[in-house]
Amino acid sequence: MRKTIFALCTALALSACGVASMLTGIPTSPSAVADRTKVDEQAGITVTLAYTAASKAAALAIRTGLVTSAATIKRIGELDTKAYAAVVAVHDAYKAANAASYGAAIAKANAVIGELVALAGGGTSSATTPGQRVAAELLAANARLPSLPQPQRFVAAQQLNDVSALMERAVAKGRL
Amino acid sequence: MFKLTDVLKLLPAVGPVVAALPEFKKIYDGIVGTFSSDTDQQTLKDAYETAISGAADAHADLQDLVRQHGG
Repeated sequence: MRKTIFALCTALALSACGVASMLTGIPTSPSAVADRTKVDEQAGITVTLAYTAASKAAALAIRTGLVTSAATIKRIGELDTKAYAAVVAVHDAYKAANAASYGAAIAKANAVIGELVALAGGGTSSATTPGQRVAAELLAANARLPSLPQPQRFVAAQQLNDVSALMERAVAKGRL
Repeated sequence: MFKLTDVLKLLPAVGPVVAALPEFKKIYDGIVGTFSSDTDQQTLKDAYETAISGAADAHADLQDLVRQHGG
């Protein structure tokens, strides 16, 4: 299994190198054009998944009592609305095939998502219950996302969503 | 049935450790496919639409939760 994963990661890394090298020049073939488009979609999907993971982690932090301050919860709600609007703006720019606004929208979305994660994770040192510890770990993992290069970030964002969904079910069933 | 301690061990190392789980290998397989197939464009477009839908659900859930707390 470990060899298989290593092989997959190697394939991902090699593919990423090939795609990244195209960013500096004009695509010379139909397949190169297609690869560039894939990069666009990956960036959009990644920022969308990053938002969803951040929003889920913030919700878990509230549900488990990691965040209890009414003022902080209200601010989380405001930042969540701002981050969601930014993610929708990225999607709109993608559909309009507007490269300039797409890049700017992604940068803005990432910045607001970072604010949301930082605010929700502000009280993680006070985590005492198992549920609070999980919420704190999820928020910490969300905070690490921006430091990952593509396509690892893409994969990690998906994983965070999957783990968050698992934790949500555990909390709903009273297991955390 | 997962064990909390196992999950906590996995989270700090999101990436290779989590990827070693069978369910996440499927994700890796799918993503590798998006880099190697000429017919993956529609798959990525579909994945984007699915991701947007998931974001809308997460947004609605968090906003509902904030309202419950008086926000």
